[in-house]
Amino acid sequence: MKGNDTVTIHLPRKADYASLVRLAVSGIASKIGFDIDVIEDIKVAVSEVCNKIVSMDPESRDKYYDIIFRLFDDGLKVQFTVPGEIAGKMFEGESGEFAYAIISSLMDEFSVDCNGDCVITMGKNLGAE
Amino acid sequence: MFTLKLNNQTKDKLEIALSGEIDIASAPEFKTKLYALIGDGKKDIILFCNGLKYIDSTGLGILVGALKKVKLHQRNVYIYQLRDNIKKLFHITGLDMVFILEEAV
Repeated sequence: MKGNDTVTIHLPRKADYASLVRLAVSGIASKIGFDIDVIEDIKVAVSEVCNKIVSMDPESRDKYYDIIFRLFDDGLKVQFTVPGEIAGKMFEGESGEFAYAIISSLMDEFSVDCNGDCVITMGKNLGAE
Repeated sequence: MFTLKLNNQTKDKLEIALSGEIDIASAPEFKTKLYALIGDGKKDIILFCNGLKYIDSTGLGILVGALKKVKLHQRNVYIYQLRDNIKKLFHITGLDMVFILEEAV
């Protein structure tokens, strides 16, 4: 039914859109068939990355960012591309460490791959606990 | 959006009801209001959170800041009635061992 759809959200790098992201995640995750508790977990994990992105230096080059959702029959993958100089600092400090722990724990897959820019990928499998 | 309401105040403690959503957009206002209530940190803080639907790492960081303020005066932060999805975040981050979490009063 999902047919491996991809949904991309192009967002201003502003905190005001945090609630919009949570709303979008709810809709997408529910379409895949996740239950309400897992949807809450995915919302939290995705929002943690968004928080770090919107907290970046306001003078940095990117005024917008993309969240790419890949919908599968058996799960969801979410991908962000972040400038390398920012990604290195995203999970530093108390709040950054909390965010890293939260994402790692709530999602089945979480990786940060850097080659110039950094690609942050997280995934959740349907039916996995 | 969130609401923060001072329910009761004695010479030893502040009882605060917290509800709604605390995210990166509302965190600055939450921090200002909470820290204003805490003042010099000489009272225990009791947070009633049964209406709190969402909090992120930014909000958790603010709560830790509040705890640090009151700990300077050998006081504590008690967090009551957390919803399961939020209690899970306290467990993941280890904050369940830092704050005093209670099911009910």
